[in-house]
Amino acid sequence: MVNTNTRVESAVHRHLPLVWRVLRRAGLRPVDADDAAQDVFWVFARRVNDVPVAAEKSFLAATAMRVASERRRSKWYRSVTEPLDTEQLALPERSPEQTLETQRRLAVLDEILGKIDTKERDVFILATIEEMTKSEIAIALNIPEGTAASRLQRAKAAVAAAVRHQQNLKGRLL
Amino acid sequence: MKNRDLPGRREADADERNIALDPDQQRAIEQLIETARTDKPEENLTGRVLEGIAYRQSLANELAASIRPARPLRGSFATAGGVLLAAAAGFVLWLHPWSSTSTIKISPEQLPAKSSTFNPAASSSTQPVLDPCNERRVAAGHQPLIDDFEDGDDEVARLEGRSGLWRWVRDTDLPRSSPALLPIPRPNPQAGNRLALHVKGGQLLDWGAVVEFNFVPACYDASAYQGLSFQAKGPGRIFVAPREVGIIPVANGGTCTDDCHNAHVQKIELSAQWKTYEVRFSEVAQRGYNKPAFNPSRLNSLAFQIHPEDTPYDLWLDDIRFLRR
Repeated sequence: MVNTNTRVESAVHRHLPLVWRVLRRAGLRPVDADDAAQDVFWVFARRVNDVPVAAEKSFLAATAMRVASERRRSKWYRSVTEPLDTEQLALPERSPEQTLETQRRLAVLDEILGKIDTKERDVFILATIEEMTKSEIAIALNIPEGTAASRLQRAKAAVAAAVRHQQNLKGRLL
Repeated sequence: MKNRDLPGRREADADERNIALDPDQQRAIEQLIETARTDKPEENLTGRVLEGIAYRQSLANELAASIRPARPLRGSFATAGGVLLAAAAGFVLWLHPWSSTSTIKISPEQLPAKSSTFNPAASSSTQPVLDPCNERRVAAGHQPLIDDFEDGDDEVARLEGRSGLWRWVRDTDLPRSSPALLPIPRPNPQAGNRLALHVKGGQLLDWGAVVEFNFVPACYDASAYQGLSFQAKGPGRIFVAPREVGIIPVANGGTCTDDCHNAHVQKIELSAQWKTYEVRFSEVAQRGYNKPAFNPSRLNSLAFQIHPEDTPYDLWLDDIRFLRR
């Protein structure tokens, strides 16, 4: 049985923000992302001996993508009486105006990301938001680097199209 | 031929043109990405995650200890001992009907770290895992037909102990509200081959759609066969997923407590004409590192998955069989 060893603890300290952001941008609500982050590190804790240290970040990003996808899939098994998402987290170190503006921007980004192909979106999140290299992304998503590059290109085109569409629709983006 | 004349180069050029934005739009995207980079969880989440892992680990240790097999007592001695023990317990209860309840102490339940959403993996860890394969049905390997749909109903062919109902589920369906799925006439029906399954739908954005059935009871041993074959046609591709009991969450009758729903799959590129496809159990694979091979003796269900990127979809399926060895 796996022990919560120092490597897991240090991975939680180092990579939790990345895992949480990937879960959020992959479509989970804040409260779901909190629980899913625990799932991600539990998977890591059980497989810690199989994951090379150099591949830790890729492994956690890939697991976060998969856990997010499974959580969306498991909506099927959930009650339809799920509470409304009123749990937007406040960011205490910011002023209320800044917090509102941040939330609005994140909502716009999530709306755009929700409209693009999931595989392309995954690459976009890892490349642009998490600034992972193509080789890290290729390891994380188990795809060739060339595929990662072409998906990123398509994702950028899709994001650009979504931005133009949104701007035509609402007159402005931000 | 110059590089710029290659089709791939032309596609790349088209992509570049699609990406082109005016400076305001470009700045807006940069601001969105910058905001996303600064997004972070609550400060105390680190502690909660570590507590949660420690708690799950203790549960897993307890579970492992509780399912360690006890040394069996032998035959008649065990039976006699059990009867005597039951009789003694009954006698004590008859003499003192309240004494046993009056001394019960209820200790508070140990709760995990705060968790406000349903979590099949976490909740299932507290339940004893009953393996449905303890009562599996076994295929003899002589009657491979799963369903040719010629009977016009939604039940798989009752051969070699197989039983189950076809269903079609989309990511937009609310629980228990998926549409009925019955065979309909093939576009060019022939004698002995008139009906097939057909599903058709628009764009899906979440996990897609699936045509599937569950074996009843929940575990079927198909190790007498080497795989599956089926006829299909349609645009795009599908993923064929014979699912093991081990990927179904405990809460849904499986044995999975971790990495659930990660089915062994094989991608099939469809064509506009009917074709027969073969999927060998040795060729289906799960996502991820160092995953175990598919075990056909623990089959729970059979699914034909349509991913969101392959929607809109228009899939015909017919003559689904196991592959003989």
